[in-house]
Amino acid sequence: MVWRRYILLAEQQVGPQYALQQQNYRVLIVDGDAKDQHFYRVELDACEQACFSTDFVGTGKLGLFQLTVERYDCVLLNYLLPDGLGLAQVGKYRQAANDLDLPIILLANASDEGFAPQALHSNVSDFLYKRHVNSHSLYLAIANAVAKASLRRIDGMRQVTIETMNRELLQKNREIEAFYQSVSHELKTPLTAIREYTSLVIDGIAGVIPPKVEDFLNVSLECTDRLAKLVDNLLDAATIEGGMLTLDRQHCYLPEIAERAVGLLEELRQQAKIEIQLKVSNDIPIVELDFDRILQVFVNLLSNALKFTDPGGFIEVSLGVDRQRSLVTASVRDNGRGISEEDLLLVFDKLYQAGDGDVINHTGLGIGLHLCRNIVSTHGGELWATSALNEGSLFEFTLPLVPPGAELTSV
Amino acid sequence: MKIVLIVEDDKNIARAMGVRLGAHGYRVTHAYDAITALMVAKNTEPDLVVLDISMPGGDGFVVAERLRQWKGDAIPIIFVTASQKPGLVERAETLDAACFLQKPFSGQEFVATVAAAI
Repeated sequence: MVWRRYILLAEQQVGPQYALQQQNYRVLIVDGDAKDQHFYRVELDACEQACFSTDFVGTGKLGLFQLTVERYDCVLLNYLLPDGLGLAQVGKYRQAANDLDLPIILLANASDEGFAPQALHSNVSDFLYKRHVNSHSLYLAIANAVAKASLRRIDGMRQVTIETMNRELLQKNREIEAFYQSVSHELKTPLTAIREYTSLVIDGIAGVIPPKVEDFLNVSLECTDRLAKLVDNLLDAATIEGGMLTLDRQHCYLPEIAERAVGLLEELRQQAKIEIQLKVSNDIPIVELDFDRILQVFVNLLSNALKFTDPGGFIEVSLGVDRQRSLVTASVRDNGRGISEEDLLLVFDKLYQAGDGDVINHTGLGIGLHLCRNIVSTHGGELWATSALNEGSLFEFTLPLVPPGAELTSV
Repeated sequence: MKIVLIVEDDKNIARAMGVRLGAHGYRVTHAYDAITALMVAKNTEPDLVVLDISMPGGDGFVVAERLRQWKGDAIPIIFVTASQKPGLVERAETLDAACFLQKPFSGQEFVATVAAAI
């Protein structure tokens, strides 16, 4: 949307009107031959589609001077001039007119050898043989050249605005990133103190405390940890959103990452009374991955599965390889509450949260799955979900065996 | 008794770390900025330095570099930070840090890290 706005802006500045609609042209004719000059004037005057006001000069040098003092829509330049080749003037003329897109049409006699190939390779807008020139062909050549130049100007303008905007956006990204970094730092400093003082009391360092106090303080401690994790998530989201996520790729064995994730959630699993089974096909190769980021994906998917599966439920993590498509595949399946069809369309949205109102157990910023999908796609893979209400959910993702961009070096 | 120098500009955190290490039998000295840290390190000859990274008057890395210049890698250094700017862990590694702790950390983890580093 922002880009579109800038392009519109560029059009407003240049004017979207194309020159074919233009009716009046100021034309400079550079030709040493008085008869030819007369011929052009007659033909242009005879034109019914447009009005031409013309100036004539006889030499390349005079043309150059004329362009510094007057503004023209188009130049008709003869191939041969009394003071040299007309072609040699093209660049100078545009510089003199301070318009790198100034339409210049080259004209020649049939006898001018080498005219066509030279004209083709030069930067002229068009070239014509004089014997083909009449009122209509001149009009078309001029109108087209002017239209092309005006389009090129719009294009150039867009290019410049797009580049400027790109720079601005990158700068904005950096600022946002820095802002989130400092917010995260500022939030975590008092959090560290809260956590440590609570923990000092729990550990009895400030004196013996009754079990009930320890109980209560443990809740504080857990909440502090959760808050810290939320701050991490926020920072992660900002980093990934800003396109700043850089992967630290190492040789990884995917099952090792999955096992680590399962291990990290062991306590939660026991509390939830859910079984987790890891199914690993035995030919999974070592792949270059960012261990910590993929671990984050597994932890996110597994903790979601734990959250939305009732006690006695079952979670299955499967890892495999698809040689044909050069992918490793991973999936997390649960037999929990599942996701409704309409919610399934939204679960990867940045701020989506399951609308079950169970605020106490299922708090979060709702950026988990959004992050996961970003992490997987930054690896060059895909993450998607299928689910049916009350039957369970299946989250699957793929990761390329060879990281994108590394194909050439790895062969 | 082993001496631990805690360099941390947040006085609440510094005090908490000191109390915990004190309870585990360490003698603790404090510095709340980089310059004082270097002065205290010179005077007290600590057995270990806990270094916060972002501090007024020069970051923890500057302190670590100076310490390495003075005493080589004789003093173990534990970096602690609440910052998640990329590249910090790598920088700490080049300074031969004993450990890099992300805030907030658990007290037990902190004590275990200190014990392992000394």
